[in-house]
Amino acid sequence: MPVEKIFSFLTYPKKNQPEVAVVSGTQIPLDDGKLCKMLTDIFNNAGKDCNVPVMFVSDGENQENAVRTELLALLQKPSVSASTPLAKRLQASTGGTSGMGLLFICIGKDGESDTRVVISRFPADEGIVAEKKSERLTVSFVEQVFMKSAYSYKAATYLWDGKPTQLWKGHVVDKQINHGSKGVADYWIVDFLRSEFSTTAAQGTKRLAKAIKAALQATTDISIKTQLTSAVQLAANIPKKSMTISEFCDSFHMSDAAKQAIIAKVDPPRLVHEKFRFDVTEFSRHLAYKQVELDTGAVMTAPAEKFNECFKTEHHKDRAVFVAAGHIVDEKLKSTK
Amino acid sequence: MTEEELLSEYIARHGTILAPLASKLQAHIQETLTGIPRIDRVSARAKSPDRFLSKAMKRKDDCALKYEHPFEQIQDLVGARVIVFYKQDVDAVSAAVDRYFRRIEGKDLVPDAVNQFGYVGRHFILAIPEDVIDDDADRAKVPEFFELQVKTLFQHAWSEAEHDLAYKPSEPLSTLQQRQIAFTAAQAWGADQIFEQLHTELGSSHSG
Repeated sequence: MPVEKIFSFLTYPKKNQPEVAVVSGTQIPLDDGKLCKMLTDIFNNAGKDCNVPVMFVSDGENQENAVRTELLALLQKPSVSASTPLAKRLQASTGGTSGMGLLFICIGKDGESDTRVVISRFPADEGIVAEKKSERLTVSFVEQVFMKSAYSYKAATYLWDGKPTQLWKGHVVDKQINHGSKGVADYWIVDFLRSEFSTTAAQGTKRLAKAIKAALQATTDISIKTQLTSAVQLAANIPKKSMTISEFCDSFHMSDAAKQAIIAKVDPPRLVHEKFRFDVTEFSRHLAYKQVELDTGAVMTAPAEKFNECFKTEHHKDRAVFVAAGHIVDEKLKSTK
Repeated sequence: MTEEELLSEYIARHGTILAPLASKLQAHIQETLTGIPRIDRVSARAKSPDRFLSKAMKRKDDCALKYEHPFEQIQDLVGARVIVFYKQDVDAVSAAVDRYFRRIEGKDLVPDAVNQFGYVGRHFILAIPEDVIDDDADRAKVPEFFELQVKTLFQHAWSEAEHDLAYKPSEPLSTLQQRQIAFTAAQAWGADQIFEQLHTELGSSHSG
């Protein structure tokens, strides 16, 4: 997959300052130097490294998205000037926390007929350069060092087959979205790319809730049931953070058996690794009540997140005693549990 | 691609990809909308080969083909429809669509002028949800989008009857026939207006 064109821009944090100077950009000549090698590696690995599917958000009634339009124009006629709108957009989306950055836009072939574009941003940092000249050591402080940091490196990649109605979907990597902060993820995906995860918050959360529900019904292992119901209770406190079903399981340190019980109920299986924003309201819609059944025939039900408040539990050897206190507001006879 | 090649390729995709996809999509939408009251039916279909070819061969005023890449540009190769009782229910379904699907287009189709009566319906172009695409699917041939129409019973009934008539005439409709069709559209529109009003009045009186 040879890179055919590389454009680079220095961008400043100018969020909410649209009047601020145009970013300066340049086309980087392709050579055998270390910079080209690093960018070529990023380009060649983008299909694997950028593993979060995103989709451009359509503006209003029509099939339009400003970033997609700019990207299509760039792909049709790659140049510094065609790249500039994206650089300006990044600058206008970057807040003070993210600071100065170096933007690279790499374009090249992917396969026989597709064109790949990789947009990456390296944050600026400060550093110290130590240089040995003859027998002297020179030490100096430098301000504009651009780091391919494992925690702040961002990239987005899109494949284009030359057809005008395509290019709605792409993939991103943003190491910071794994930290759980909605704001950080929004900077790259929402503000800059005017995109969202391909899976909506409600759809991803429903998928997770249904998998847990199906796993609870399928297993007879009390240990697994306990882990799953505990996770459901605690999930009521999860903020609207991005996660995958796999990451949800890991965040509660579930046993491998419990995690596999959930994963086995995700259809199709690849969606275990699909990113979405957790939506506690949607989660509660599907797993609203926790129910415990005893071998005596007794069945206790309460809202999942307050089951332990509704029932005080004591254990006597292998038997459990549940105590509930409150005013009786209703009584029912049902044909099923 | 020649016309024959296009048709042949579509027939192959219809049987192996589009029809099974439509079936899974119908079940997915039904499940997604569970709990929303007054949904009369949910259906999904793959466009028939004849209709596909007819659309793919459409030409613009300058005689050039309207769709250079029909498999990608025709976004209703798979189409779904949700029919609801009242106009308020169209809004409820639309809200759920926005929660669970990614859309690139959403619009109310209405006649051009306020004093005209004709087709009415809410149309969405939505990304095919990953949930209905098998792991081993040939992604290059799976459409990225599908069309979803949300309509009331009266909007649906009128459009079905009108659609059927549209394929029958061998010559343009007379002025009277056009007025007759507009009249039936006005009646359907009026029925929706009254039911919307009644549902609001009776619903609020019940809850009060």
